[in-house]
Amino acid sequence: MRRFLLLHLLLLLLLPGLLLRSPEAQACSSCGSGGADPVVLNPSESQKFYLGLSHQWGFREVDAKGEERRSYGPKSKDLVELAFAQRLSPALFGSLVIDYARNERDGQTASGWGDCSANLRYTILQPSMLDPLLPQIQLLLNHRLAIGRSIFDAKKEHYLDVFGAGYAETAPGIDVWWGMLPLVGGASFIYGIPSAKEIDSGSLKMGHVQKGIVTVGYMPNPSFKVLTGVVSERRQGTELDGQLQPDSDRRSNDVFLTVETLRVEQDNLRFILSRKAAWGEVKNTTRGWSTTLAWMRAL
Amino acid sequence: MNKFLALWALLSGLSAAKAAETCPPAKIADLQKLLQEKPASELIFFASWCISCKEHLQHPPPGSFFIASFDERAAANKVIDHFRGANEAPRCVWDEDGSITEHYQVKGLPATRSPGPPKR
Repeated sequence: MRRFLLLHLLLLLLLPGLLLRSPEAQACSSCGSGGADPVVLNPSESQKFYLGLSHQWGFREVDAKGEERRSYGPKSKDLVELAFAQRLSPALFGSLVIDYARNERDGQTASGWGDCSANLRYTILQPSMLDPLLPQIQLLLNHRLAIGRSIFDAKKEHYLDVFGAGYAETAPGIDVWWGMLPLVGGASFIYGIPSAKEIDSGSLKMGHVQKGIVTVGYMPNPSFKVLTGVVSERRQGTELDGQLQPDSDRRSNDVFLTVETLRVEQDNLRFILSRKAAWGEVKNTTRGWSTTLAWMRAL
Repeated sequence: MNKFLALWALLSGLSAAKAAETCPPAKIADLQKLLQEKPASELIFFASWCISCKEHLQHPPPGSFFIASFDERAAANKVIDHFRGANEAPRCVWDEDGSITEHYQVKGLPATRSPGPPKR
């Protein structure tokens, strides 16, 4: 745990240094981070590697009435996220993402692989310097494979060995981004369709999910940007053998702050601070803090 | 007969318009031939989506040669035509197969290179 935090701190200390040395700036301010997938290719990049370290803590359950309760699950969670993006054509690229998690509660820990996701992004409209108000528009397709141990097959107390969602989900979406001016911003909408999961008591189907992300930010120079945004997620109720379970729909509204370097042919860093279930109407979700420090390298 | 003549005139016009393209498609061998015929002082790599490339397009050093890369051909031509002004048409090619950017080891934009051997 201490080693993980030290690594986190070390990467954080490197961030200002990397910001100061910027011989060749990355031009496409609109690229670099995705609301649905962590690694996004700049039009001039063909491959990119991503390593993210996350620490999550301060979990509190929010019940169906929106009331906060003490969390039964882990007290903190550390994640190592690996991703690789590959360009498939000038307008299309794909990425694979997998994570390895470590849960902790009262000195007890458990580690394991989380879920894996495959993502595709297709650019249907490229921005142009001649019309800075014209956004970049990308179509997204995400598929999550339920690889990690989930709440449905947990063996340890306090769900200490839960690392995945337990069900596969396919999510098409759209991402619109204005990044040609110092004031940047964008919005994404993702519609997730989960697969049914066979459990002891029958066929369980989670509800469809609608996820909206709105982002605004400032890019004082082409090699650095600061973003803040909100994520609003609505999941319909769960069905067991076709029967809708009462009060099982979920709502969560998160906020985040991102600081990111955008330098070409060099290592880039991204730092994200987020608060899950931070505002508005929330239900059947978990409130908590999260920090992520990521290193990216275009190959 | 008149219809055939009109079609011929239309196609001729289209091919003439294509020939007049400021950034015609080229591969590394084509570029090297062009540079042998008339040397350039600097190679400037740009794309229509590259906002930081604007400065290089607005104020290029004399004798610069432009290379549109990582971009759509029409979009790149539109941008170079926008900045050409009333002066002589800039020398430019559109990197049609990525061989020029690969040869000069360009991985991001904007980028400038000496027309000689690629940077190591």
